[in-house]
Formats: sequence, structure tokens, C-alpha cells
Amino acid sequence: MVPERSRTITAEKAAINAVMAGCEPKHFPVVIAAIDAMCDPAFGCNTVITSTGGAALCVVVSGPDLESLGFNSNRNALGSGYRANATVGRALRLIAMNVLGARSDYLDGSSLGHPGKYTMLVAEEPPPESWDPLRVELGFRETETTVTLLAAEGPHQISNQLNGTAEGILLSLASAMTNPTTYGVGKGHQVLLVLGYEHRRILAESGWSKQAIQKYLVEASRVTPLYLESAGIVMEHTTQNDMTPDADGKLATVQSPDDIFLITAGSPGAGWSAYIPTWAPTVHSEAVTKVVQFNESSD
Amino acid sequence: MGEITVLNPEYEEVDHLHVSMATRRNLNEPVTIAVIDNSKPHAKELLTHIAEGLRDYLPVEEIIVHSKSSAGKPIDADEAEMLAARAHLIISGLGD
Repeated sequence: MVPERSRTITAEKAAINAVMAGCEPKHFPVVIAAIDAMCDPAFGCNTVITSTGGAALCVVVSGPDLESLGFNSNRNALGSGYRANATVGRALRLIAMNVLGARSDYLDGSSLGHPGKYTMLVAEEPPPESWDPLRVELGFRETETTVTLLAAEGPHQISNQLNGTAEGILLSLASAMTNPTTYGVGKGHQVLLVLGYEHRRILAESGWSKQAIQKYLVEASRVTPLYLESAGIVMEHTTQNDMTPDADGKLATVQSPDDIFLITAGSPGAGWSAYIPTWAPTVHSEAVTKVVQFNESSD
Repeated sequence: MGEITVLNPEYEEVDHLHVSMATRRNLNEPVTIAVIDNSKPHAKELLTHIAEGLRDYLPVEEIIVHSKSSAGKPIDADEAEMLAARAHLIISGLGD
């Protein structure tokens, strides 16, 4: 139910749209969990699918056996070629369009939007041994499969191919997170960081825990008003975006380590990661995680 | 011949909302106008300017500005009741 629109997503409509998207029956529980996340008040679905900012419904799947569901988390993890990756996200978008009215000619007010609004899903590759997968970090069981839904901008590739140090990679991640023209920079939004093979290996082997990385990036992504103003950005002092600096003269890009969703995906290559910022500060929308409820009939 | 069932993926109105409009009446008493600021930059200034302009037409005594925490979220029922109790006329809007 999305109360602002007085609309309920029935199981029948969800199923019709999932079939139209190309989902197999085994994917439907994942779609249902994503719908559940989308309807959570914290996600702010009404504004997410209406805003001029043009957010995608970015589904992050974390689970012990994603391969058997057909999800690809390895080579070309954010790209094409796998039915599960393509269709689960597509089902969610079709539901937003067909059931909630988020169509370009109706209630979707995106000025530009981005290609992730067709479909956007990231499956988590099992992390290095010393790190917990996302679902465990978020308090769920290792044996459970979870869906985390973020209202997301498009992915930004992060290239760091020649610096083999953890510190060098962390500086690059922080730099990607502080592009001053990203709407949430300096305003307290959430981000999804997808660590590619080389980057996660170097960080883990250098002894960095995920929590330490998150804590470092919270501090390293703090910015001054001057930094933003030098890119032409005007400070806001409204009730929804109060950009009054803290005592250190800086503004938080992410308020806490919990606002950085750190996952692993992708195959060996040259040294790539990806940064996917949420489209707006947390006052408007927060990522929501739900457990996928499998049953025998979904096979 | 098999039978083909065509399923509709779109929302179908099952229970139309019956909403009655508030009574329209002449306002001769001192009028309180409430402005719901959606918290976007300049929204408060724009809507307050409109409310001020109504002084030419109504005996406006007070203009209340109520700011939301997020443009994307509606006011809750308690806020709506409070504003309805205090104001004769409420101006809201949406957009950037």
C-alpha cells in the first residue's frame, strides 16, 4: 500500500507485471520482498518515483545461494546478460509504472531520469573471508536472503588501477563520493559502494574491515561549504536541507557508517569499483531491507 | 480452440474515494491563512507572498507558515487537524 496514492499493490498485479518483466517463478519471492521494501514508509516511495531527480529503484540482493536463483554477481555484475538480474528490477519498475502511476506521461516527474530506471539490480558476490556479507552486517542471518532497496542515481565507475595500496584506493573512493554536483553531497544521503575484485582484495588483505572502511569514508567525505561553492553550488538553509556546517566547518555527505552500504561484486580486471549514491538526503528516503520469504511453490 | 485470457497489469480503481469539498462561504471575520511550506528553496517566500496578496481581498489578520521536514512527505493527520482548527484558508503547493 502506498497511502499517498491510495493504491494497493495486489499479489495479482505484482504477478502480472513480474511475468511481463520476464521473471521466472523462482524470482517472484525476491520481487515480493522488493515490493515490501518499496512500500515501507521509510523508503518514501511516493516521492522517490515522482521526483524530478529521477531515481531508480535499485535492488541489492544478498544471499547464500544467489547462483541457483540465476543472479550474476561476478563478471559484468552491473551489466547485461543474466535474466534474473534484468527481470527482478524490471518487474519493480513496471509495478511502479503500471500500478502506482509512475509513468513519464503521468506522475513520474523526472527531468532526465537514467537508464537504471528500466531495471537496476546488484547481486552481492561473496566477500573476502574476513568480511561479512551485507545481510549479516545489517543484522540478518547468513542463511537468509535479503533485498535492500535504494532510490539511486546511476552507477559511477571508480577507476584505480595502478595504486596497489589500501590507502590509495580509499582516497579514490572518498573522491568519488564527494563530487560536489551530486545532490546529496554535503546533505547527508546514503551510498552504495560496490567494491570490485582488486579493490576488495587489497583492502581486505591490508587488514581493513568493512566497518573501518565505512568509518574512514564518513570522515573523508566531509566537505566544506567553500568546496561546494567553488563548484557553483549554493548552500541551502531550508528545513529539509540545512547546510549549516558542524563545529569543524564541514558538512556530512554521509551521517554515519550505516549510511554506506558496502558490497562486493565483479570479476578480476584492472581495478574497478562503482559508486551508487542515493538520489536525495535521508530526510526524504532511506534504504530498506527485507528478508526474502521462499516457499516450495516458488520453484 | 483454447481460450486466451488477457490480464491487465495496470491499477484498477476498486473503490472510488468519495470526497466532499469543504463549504465555501464568505469570509467577513478576521481571517487566518496557513501556508504549508514544502521546504524547497524559496517555497516559503513564494507562498507567503501569495498569502500577503490576499490582503487586498480578505480581512487577513494572521498568516501562519507551517514548514514540512521533507518536500516528499505529506503532513500527518495531527498537523492537518491543527492547521484546519487554526486557519480559515490553507495554501499549499508542490513543485521545485
